[in-house]
Amino acid sequence: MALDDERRVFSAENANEGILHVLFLRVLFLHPQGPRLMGIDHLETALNPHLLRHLVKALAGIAAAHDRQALVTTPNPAALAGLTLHDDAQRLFIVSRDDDGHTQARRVTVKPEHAVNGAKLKLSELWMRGLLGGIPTHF
Amino acid sequence: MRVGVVAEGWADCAVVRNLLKAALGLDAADVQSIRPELQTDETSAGAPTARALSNWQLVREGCERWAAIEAHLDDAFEDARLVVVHIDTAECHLSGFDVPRPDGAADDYVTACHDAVLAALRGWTQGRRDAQLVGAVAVEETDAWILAHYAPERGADTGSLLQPKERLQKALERTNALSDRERESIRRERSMLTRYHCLSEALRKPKTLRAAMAHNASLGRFVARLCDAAEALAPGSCRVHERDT
Repeated sequence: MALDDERRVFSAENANEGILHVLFLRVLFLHPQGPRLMGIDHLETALNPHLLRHLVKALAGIAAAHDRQALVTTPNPAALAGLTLHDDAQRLFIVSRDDDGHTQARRVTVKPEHAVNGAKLKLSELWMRGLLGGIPTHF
Repeated sequence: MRVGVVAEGWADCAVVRNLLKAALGLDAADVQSIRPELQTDETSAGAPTARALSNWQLVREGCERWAAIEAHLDDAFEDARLVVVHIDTAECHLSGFDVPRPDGAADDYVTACHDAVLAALRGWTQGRRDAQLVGAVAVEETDAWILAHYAPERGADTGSLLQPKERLQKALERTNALSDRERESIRRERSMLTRYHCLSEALRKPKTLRAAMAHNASLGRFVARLCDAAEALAPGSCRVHERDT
């Protein structure tokens, strides 16, 4: 279906939520008056898991280039596909509760000369298989 | 330290988790169930071929396939890692398990049975990652380990007693270690993970575990092997040898 010339414009309210989210994050990371340190809850909101990988990778690059630091939470394993744990600037922490209910944060570190699991499994798969921790234990 | 668990079922997993708390001070978040559940989804777990296998066969399959265990022990991770493989000896005589049951009347029945099944387990894993793989062989059933806490018998190993599951139920009815409310709560609990967590909760204390180990040789051997493996990876991690805390 072809649209008339004057209708070939998608306004922001017509874009899907994921696109708006990505645009918002890019502005946040790139704007000269944007915060140097920010916390972002649920980075994955409204995004296809595969796009999430590219978003994480892009934001990591932008943050490094523009002196930004972001603390990002996500319950979505696909986000891990955009991280490289061999770069010390990109850090992954597993946040969970201990048996007394206290919050614990544990950094996941890998040896520099090793591909995780011989590169047979993605980090996201390792998480889903419980090999990184960070999954409920009381079911 | 992170520990992966390969077990026959959720009940065994719950007990092993509590033993890991006592022996190594690990929280539930540090312990990962490799089997049951995490290597499959509900679709593959419900497939006819999966349903046809009994629990010990699935443990054997997990050991022989190896990939899930190897993934947990991946050398790329910088944290110390162990895998506990739990199995009962109750069905060791069956075809496929192929461990002849030692003479039940013999004085060394428990240790002989334990050692024979442990050797079979090592055969399934072909000796791979031996320093990081700890066999948790419960002679007869895991219930016998818990029975050693609730109903220790002077001069008798609870692993040598017949029908430990039924004995444990009877012991729970008369023990003073549980209040009526706790007893009723355990009886009504439908989740095997929660039920056996509650049943073996007392074994989270090193002192209580040490006392139970004295009444069940297979429990004692498992904890000793676990501590040896953990100490080799992270010296000072074993709490069972410490004074009471």
